[in-house]
Amino acid sequence: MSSVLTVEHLSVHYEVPAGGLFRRHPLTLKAVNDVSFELRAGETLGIVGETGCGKSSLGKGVLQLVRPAAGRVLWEGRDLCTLSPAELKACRKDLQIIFQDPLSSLNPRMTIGEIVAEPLEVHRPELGRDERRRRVDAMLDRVGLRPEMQSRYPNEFSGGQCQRISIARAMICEPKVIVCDEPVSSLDVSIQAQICNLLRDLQRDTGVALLFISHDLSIVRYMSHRVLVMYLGRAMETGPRLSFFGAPRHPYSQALISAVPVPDPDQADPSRSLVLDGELPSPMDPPSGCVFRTRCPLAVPVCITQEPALVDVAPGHGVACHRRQDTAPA
Amino acid sequence: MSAGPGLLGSETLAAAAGGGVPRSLWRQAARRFRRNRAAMASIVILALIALSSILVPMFWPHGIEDASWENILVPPGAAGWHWFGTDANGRDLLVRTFYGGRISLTIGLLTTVVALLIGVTYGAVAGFAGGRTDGFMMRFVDVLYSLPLIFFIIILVTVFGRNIFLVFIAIGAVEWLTMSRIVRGQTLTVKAKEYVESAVAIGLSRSAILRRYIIPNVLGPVIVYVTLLIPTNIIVESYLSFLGLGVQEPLTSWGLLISQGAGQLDSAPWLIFFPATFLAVTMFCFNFIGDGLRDALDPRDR
Amino acid sequence: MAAVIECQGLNVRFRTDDGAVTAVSDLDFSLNPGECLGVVGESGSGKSQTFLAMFGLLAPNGSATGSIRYRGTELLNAPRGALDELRGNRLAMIFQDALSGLTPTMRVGEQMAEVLVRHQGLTRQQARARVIEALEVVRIADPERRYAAYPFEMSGGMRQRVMIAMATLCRPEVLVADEPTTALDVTVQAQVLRLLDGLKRHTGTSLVLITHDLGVVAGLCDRVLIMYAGRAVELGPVRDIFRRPAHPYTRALLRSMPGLGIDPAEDLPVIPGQPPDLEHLPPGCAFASRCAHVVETCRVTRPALLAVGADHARACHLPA
Ligand SMILES: Nc1ncnc2c1ncn2[C@@H]1O[C@H](COP(=O)(O)OP(=O)(O)O)[C@@H](O)[C@H]1O
Ligand code: SF4
Ligand code: SF4
Ligand SMILES: [Mg+2]
Repeated sequence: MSSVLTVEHLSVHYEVPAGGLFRRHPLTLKAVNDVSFELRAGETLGIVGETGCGKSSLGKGVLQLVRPAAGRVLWEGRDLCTLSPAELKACRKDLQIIFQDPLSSLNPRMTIGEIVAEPLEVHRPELGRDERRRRVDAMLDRVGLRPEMQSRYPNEFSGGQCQRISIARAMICEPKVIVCDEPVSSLDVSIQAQICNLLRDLQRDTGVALLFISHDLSIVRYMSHRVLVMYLGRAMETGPRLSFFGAPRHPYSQALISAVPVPDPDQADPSRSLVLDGELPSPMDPPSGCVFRTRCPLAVPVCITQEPALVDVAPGHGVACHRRQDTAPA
Repeated sequence: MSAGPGLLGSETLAAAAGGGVPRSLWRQAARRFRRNRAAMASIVILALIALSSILVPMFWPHGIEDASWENILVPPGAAGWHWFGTDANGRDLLVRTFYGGRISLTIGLLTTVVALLIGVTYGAVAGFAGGRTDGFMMRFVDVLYSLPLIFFIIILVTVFGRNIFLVFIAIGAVEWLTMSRIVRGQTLTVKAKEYVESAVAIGLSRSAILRRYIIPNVLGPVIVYVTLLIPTNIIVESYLSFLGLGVQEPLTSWGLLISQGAGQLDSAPWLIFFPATFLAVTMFCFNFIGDGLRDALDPRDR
Repeated sequence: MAAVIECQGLNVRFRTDDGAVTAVSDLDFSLNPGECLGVVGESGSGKSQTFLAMFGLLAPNGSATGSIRYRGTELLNAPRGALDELRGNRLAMIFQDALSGLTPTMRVGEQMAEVLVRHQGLTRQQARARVIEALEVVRIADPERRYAAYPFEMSGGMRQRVMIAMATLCRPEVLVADEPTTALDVTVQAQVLRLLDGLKRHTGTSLVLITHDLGVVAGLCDRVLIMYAGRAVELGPVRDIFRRPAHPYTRALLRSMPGLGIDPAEDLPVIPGQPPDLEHLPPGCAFASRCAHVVETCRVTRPALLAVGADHARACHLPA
């Protein structure tokens, strides 16, 4: 399969006002540090990691909602990072985003019809009003909402329905890539499954590629063809779903997977899971060498001095760990 | 607590059932506002005061400048249609009070409009532009803030002479500062909302984002502030008149009437009683309306 | 053994702008000494309101009827003084948002010591020692230093552990944890769950774990109460709930979870639709509009919670 989007050595930095009275220069928080991946047509790449590890920043950096500090985002032969705002605007038709909080990602002062039609107004101004309305009706129907709801406002809908509206807005211009930033994290279990299935259906029908960001490994496993694990802004492990979930090789991935509660009373036992001790270090001041070393059960002295590179252990399965030989399944 | 999503859930089905009119946030706020008795009563009272301020001077048997040497300092009573009594020049206080109301309310409204126009534009631009532009624009506001209002007005009055329009401009030009701060703060909050990011992501132009996303969502607190700014400005005018910097005879305002009445507090207390009562009631009404609007527009704060 | 908490015929209603909302209706359950009861349901199913009612913490527009007894003492609508005596001492509750349970302007350790001084009459010195010990138990590194920290200086997981330490300071008999891990990452969730598990094993505290995640329940709870639209739909031992779920909602819920064991190539079976409007609950079964097995009676008569096995009950008209 051909790749639609190639991300090379992407870094996203934020300037944080310095604490302290006399520090004049703001500090730099490196939210994403040298991350590369490729997204193929019709594919879902799952991005996992704990809160604050840079998943959302990565998504926003790819879409240029924050301008990356370094790296390239190659899209149809061009680097999005170097495009002017006007050039970018044209690309936005094909690159969309869905956010976590269903309610706050919809403008409370606009009706559902206006919200869903807006991308068409921007990118397809040649369409007449009737045609626009027809497409909005069809799109709402496709995401499981009744077209009569067009004249209603977001505050009249539940979280799941708001998320359907966001999906309709993102899909109406038939984009090639959608960044889904924790799209089901704030929904109830029974609604989560509905939205996941809707995204999978839409992908099957339209071939849209998804960058699926989530901290929930079960959902990532269900949704993604490939997975990228992040920790403190770095890529720790990346690989195809089967090989990753079958035999995770990075100690962090292993801890993440073992922490997922097992829905079976005879196998689940909280006292047995591999629990990571300690806290996530501050991203303002990441550990030297391997950023995971402060919590890693396998850390050795070299981990303090040298940052491990992402090395393939199987086709398409890369791991950034000095001890990748020791983590292989027995 | 966790009432949020649940509450939504129950509203949803009203929508899913398809019944009723769409409930925009404005419509819901209006409904909540109408339930607020104090605020609704205040609106009625204010309307009565405003209406009588317009109509009474037109039809009352006495004019505002009709001095009468036979009727100096008549106490309130039905005799000779001097219901509120007369002043030291024998002028009827009732007609002067209502006429003063015209001026005071007009000044309150117009100065607020001036403050609103400057403040909203300035604050929204600063907040939306952000970064260095924002920093610079808000430093300028800080500098103006540190100048005392009276100082500013005395300069204006000495340079341009006394003039009622000058009073409008002076008050408005000072009061927009707070407005611009409120609008800027609110703009920053709204700008951080995910729906604004989603507008950027679909490629909407900056002016469209400002128009469709920022301003409508910033409007709520602005409306509340406006209802509180009108009475503030009426008071500022009274204060200026009291100092002799505001409205000039033969025109009059509540502030001027009060300042004149204050001199005869012992001999003719009605001279201060009536205008002061009207001023106070007006203040209360605006404050009740402001509170009602705040509750209606942002029910979470209750 | 006599139950610690006995809830009978609990109803919780709220007056709102749009009419009356029934958040909990006709709920019966009990909590046995030393057990962990899981309370599972979607948001708005009445899980939190049930226990807020028990603690006298309902919002001002809410009211509760029925009975909730703690060892024979009626808690519902009990006088403030009596409740205050029990709350924080014999009965403790922790919330999803740990920040809301901590006073932002007070040092964490001092807030905790305060509880001991007030409820157990310890001196400041004694209280401080106990607090530091409790912080150690919940594996807060460097407890002496953390004693003087403010809540905002701590991460979400750390605050949740502090809340647990604080709730257990007076060795309560009943600890209600309302979605204690929902806002946390899996790794931190695992830490908190392990902590609660240890607490249950070592102190004999009766635990109520409110959650929407059946996975969390499986490892920790002895019995499970499944709620839907303010009603109990199934109540039983955790193994029965997972192995022999008796209510169509429980079954559908179990099937729609994307656990790590499913085959991702197949579509997850979903529960269509959404929970009913609590202002206009249907006269019959609340799940009727989403149930695959619905029959005529379901729409007219409300099913009662009836036994289907030892200690296992469900509310459904289908033949067992
Ligand atoms: N103050 C309130 N006013 C009106 N309704 C409320 C209030 N608090 C809670 N509710 C209602 O009670 C229902 C149950 O809430 P809750 O117990 O918090 O659910 P859960 O904890 O299962 O998510 C919610 O659907 C909500 O509509
Ligand atoms: S490089 Fe070292 S510290 Fe990092 S994950 Fe591997 S073993 Fe652990
Ligand atoms: S009572 Fe009827 S509708 Fe309710 S769960 Fe049972 S079969 Fe389904
Ligand atoms: Mg709850």
